[in-house]
Amino acid sequence: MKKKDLFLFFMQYSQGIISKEDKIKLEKLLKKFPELSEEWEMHLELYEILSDSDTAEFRDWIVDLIKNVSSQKDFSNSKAENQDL
Amino acid sequence: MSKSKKIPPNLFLEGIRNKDSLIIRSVMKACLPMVTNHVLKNKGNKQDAEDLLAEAFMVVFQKAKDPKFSINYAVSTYVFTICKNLWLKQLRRRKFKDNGDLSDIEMAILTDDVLALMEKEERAKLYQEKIKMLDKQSQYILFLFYREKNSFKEIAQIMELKSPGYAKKLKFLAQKKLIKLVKQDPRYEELKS
Repeated sequence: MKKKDLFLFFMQYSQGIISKEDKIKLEKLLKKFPELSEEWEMHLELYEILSDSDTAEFRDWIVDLIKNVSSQKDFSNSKAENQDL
Repeated sequence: MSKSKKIPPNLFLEGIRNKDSLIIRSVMKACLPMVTNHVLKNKGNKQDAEDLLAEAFMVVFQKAKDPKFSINYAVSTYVFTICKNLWLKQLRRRKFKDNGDLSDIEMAILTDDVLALMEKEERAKLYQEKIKMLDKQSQYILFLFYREKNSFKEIAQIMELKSPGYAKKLKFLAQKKLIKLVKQDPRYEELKS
């Protein structure tokens, strides 16, 4: 039940529709059950990471670019280039 | 752009902000051999080096969101130092004895905010890795909800589910699975502290 409440609050929180009353309930819940704080933090972190499209797109782009650059040359056997870049 | 041409830090930051592949590739070509050589000499492999470089670019990407941010070192020194420190942390986590201290320049580069971004990026990478371990349906529902900002009604339509309520349930289960996977990874506890 506690986790279900937390999830419900999280849904409202992430959509920016949590009421003042529910926010107070949430704070009380987290205070009363400190073990839920970690779960709450993870929800928040997950939300931040997954909803940040710009960062996720940039990460995918960079990973592809590195693979591409790396495949063009076997860097493990080469000396560093342009160390003064 | 010539490979040997020196890229000024402000141009590099503009390249990051504008996703300019010419500039970024040029920096990568300079940094990847340095990072690869360092990692290979220190118990890692080529893939570790590529992962580190990606993480370093992500740190710069986050820093570059601040228009006032500037780099006061050679670009390769800056990027390589971030990689070097990330690798030191990984070696410590893998219980290997690390080999050496950082130089004064490297210590100066690694300001608190850079270190905090490095940790944030490591946690983000952990979540991203675990998402890829989920089944396709779970990955898709999280993508539709978080990235595409669809409502449960829209998700139910897109995925041809019986109701928005069912979409909500599936999203809850996907998230629960993801959190469990993240928590089970030993890196989660290490990155928390």
